[in-house]
Amino acid sequence: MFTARLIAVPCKIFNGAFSGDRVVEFELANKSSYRTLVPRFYCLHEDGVRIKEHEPITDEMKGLLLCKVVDFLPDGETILEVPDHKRVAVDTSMVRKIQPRDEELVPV
Amino acid sequence: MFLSDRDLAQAIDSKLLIVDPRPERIDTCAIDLHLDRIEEAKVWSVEKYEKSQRVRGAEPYLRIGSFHYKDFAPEYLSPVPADTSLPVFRDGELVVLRQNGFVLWQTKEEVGTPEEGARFVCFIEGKSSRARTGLLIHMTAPIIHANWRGKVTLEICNLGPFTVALKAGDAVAQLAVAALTSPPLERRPEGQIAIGQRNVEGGGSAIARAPGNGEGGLTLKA
Repeated sequence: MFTARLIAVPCKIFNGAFSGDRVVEFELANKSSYRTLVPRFYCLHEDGVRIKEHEPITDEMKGLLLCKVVDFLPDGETILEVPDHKRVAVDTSMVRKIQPRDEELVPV
Repeated sequence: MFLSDRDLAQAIDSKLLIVDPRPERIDTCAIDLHLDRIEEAKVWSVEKYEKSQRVRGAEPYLRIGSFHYKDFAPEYLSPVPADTSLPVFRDGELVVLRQNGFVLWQTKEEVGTPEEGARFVCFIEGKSSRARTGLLIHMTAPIIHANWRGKVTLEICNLGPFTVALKAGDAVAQLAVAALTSPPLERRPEGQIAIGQRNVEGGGSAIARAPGNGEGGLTLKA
């Protein structure tokens, strides 16, 4: 098990009202979905590159949301702090390790 | 304790404070923030909202208790219209606010603190010279929490007697930064249940999830 604090979770990314905002949605450990508003900075392409101001070009795109690990639980759940400062539980299998590299964050 | 100009510059240099693009100048204890491009000025489409409520057979009011900005904003915020009869309208590169005109406008700068190990908290404030015309640039929500970074949405309202005009690049707000007395808690408080956890019923925790799609966060059980 890794112990990185910054990780990413797969999510759907939608445009927000402003170019700096995005709405993201992902699945929680209890299989419900969590939807919130975050700054664009925390939204990454699936290859870890931050999304650009004009993305998603269509209504939605698949991507990653940059989060912080708060806790790894023994039952296969990970507690994350989402950029909206809420703490949510996801399946640990969803969590993608992120390796910061210059201005990009690269999943490894 | 608020940061002085020299501390602000040092905090930016050491990447403990994010202001992007980097400010050209720093005042004694604040950094000017500017309006983003005009396309980032938005007004609420009240007519659209009321129409959608009518179609649903619902009352025309905005129920704040069940209001979720994340869903509401993309649906009902619109670019500033050119119709000069409205309280807020676009005149070329200007956004004009008549008395009581209200517009949301994103800052050009992305500001905040790093995702980890934040040592500062930021505050958005207006500028006194603008305020004296009656221009309000934020409403009750000046804090940029530690460990958050992004562009800030200003809630701009013309409460003064003039019809005022704003344009991209105008310095209407300022950022003040204070040091935290200790870093934010990085671990989960004992017994706290996160939103979306499995098998939390009857877990004996002192803390339970608040109702309503996680919007309420975590609250103590009575």
